[in-house]
Amino acid sequence: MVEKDVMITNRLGLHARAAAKLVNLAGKYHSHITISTEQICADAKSILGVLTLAAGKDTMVKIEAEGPDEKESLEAIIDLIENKFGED
Amino acid sequence: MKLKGTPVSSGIAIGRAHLISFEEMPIPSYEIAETEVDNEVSRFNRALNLVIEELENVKEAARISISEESLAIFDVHIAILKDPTLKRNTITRIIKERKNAEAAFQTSVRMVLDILENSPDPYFRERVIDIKDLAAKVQMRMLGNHKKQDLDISDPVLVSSQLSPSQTGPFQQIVKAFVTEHGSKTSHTAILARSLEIPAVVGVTGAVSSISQGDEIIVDGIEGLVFVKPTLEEKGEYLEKIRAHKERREKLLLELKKPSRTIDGHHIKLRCNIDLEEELDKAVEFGAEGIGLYRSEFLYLKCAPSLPSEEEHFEIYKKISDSAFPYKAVIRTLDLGGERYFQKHLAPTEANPVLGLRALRFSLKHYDIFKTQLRGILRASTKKNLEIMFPMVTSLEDIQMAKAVLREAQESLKRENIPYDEEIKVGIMIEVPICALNAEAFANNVDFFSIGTNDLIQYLMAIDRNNEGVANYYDPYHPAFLRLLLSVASTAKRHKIPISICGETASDPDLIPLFVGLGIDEFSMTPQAIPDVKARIISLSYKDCRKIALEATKAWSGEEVRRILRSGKAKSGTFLGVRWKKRDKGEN
Repeated sequence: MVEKDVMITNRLGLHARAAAKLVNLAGKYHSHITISTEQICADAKSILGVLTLAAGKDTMVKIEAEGPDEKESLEAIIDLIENKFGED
Repeated sequence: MKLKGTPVSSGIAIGRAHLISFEEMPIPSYEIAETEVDNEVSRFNRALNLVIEELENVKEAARISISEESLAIFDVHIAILKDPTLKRNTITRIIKERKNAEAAFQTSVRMVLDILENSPDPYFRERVIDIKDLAAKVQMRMLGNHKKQDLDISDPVLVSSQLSPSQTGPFQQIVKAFVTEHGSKTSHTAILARSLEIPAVVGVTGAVSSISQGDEIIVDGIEGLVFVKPTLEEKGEYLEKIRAHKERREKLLLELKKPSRTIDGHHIKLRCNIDLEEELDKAVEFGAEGIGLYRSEFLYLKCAPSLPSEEEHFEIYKKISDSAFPYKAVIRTLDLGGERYFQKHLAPTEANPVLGLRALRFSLKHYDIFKTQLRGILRASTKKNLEIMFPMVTSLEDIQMAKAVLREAQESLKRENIPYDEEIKVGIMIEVPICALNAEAFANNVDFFSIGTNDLIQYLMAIDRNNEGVANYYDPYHPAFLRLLLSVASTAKRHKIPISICGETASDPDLIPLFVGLGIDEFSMTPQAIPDVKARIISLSYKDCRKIALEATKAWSGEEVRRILRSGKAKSGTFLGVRWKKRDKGEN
């Protein structure tokens, strides 16, 4: 299993459209991927789960991945978040 | 704001929007047997996948006209529907708690909504609306119908993504118009709207999202326009249109006093199709020569979830008989199936209900339900003006079996000394191609034919009449269809049995000259169509109709038939007043 902490830095936070992008990306990998805040841990392939994190700007989240393509999936998701989901 | 859609029931109405949404949709909840688990799961999956597919199609269609950023909302919605947690929770509930698909899905959706509704962030609270909307779309796909709803709005205009007959039914006394996102001219919403004489516009993209509860709304069922919060000018213009429309209507009503004959004296009988007993008065008012079709499934819908008793059958048929007297009234036995599925134990989910166990096939498998209905009809037949009609007949054996059940019902009444019409006439709906092609065989076994053009065209052309994606293939002018009608009509003539058309096409004045020419001289239609149809008939010459109809049967395409009709109009002058529809634009 691999994991990494990352800060949500885009202005709107992990809102619906950003969440859709995250979920679509996570869905491309076979690994089991989670995204969690201090309070909640959600399946990164479930948009409803990701939305319930209600992670606004400047929230720290932890990404964990486990499976055959865990490294690539973790990198790709960190990239997406660090690039502010292509927004701003 | 002005929205555009397809007009399916004419007229103009001004009212206030009443949105029918997920929140108000009572979701049936019941235990299922272990053997039904697989079926429920696949029913859920199918509904879900259909909605996803729909959204993907809408997204593709929208790609050219809206920005990349706006397109992203579709991705959000698709991601919500594809959400593995939601799906897994629903399926787990079906399997472990033995819940029906609708209830299992609703509970799962409710859990998500609870979390979002309690979120401190207004942005997330707003997503609640999206999820409710999506859930409603899935529920609509799973549900055939739902029950009565209360209204607290005066002059309500029902706005929904899609309406089923049982949804619209409870509103019939007060509703002013229908606006839906889906549907077509031959869907049941459209048919019901026409029978209630209220305007309806379907296929209005974005209606649910851009109209709010209580908004003032103008529905123009002639042009297919919907004005949301109209300006003063728009409202003024429409008040004037309503007045003019009423005036024209009154003039047509005067025409009704004339007998229904062509200029060369050919008598064409016009009757009414009735779904609800409240329409009976209208049939009389519009001068119908009886009831050509009573759709008895509306009685079943009214009684759902229980079945109508023999007494309930008897009461409604008696009213119909009394109201139609001295003319006849045709009672069609239960035509359940297709989109009219409403009761779990009556209609188990089928992969292909339109081709499934429906109508007469269903009745023959449910002897008790069938016999109860036949006894109800027989008991009400003492005025000797009721006739029985079987729907969706495909084989001679079915007719023989149905008649055997009828004989049993008659004998049981005789034993109980209950009077009934011993010579009651029995006829069939011709709505499946095999039956039309084999009409000769049926002519020896029944007393009359009635052609259901909606289904006949649907089965001939392989068109789901509720699917707007293929609605443009629907062509009642197609010469192959006309040739089939000619063949059935000639068979009926040879056997001296009456033949009528009771489909939606009978209420289209532009098709009447063709049908009359093919040898059909009885039509049954929604009551308010009678004035227009009668006005057309009294301007026709039977001789000219015959000539043109026979010429039309030699054509190869619907386009060609329309050309023939147009030239006929130019030559004889009797087709004056033919209103050419939009589909003809761009020809010539």
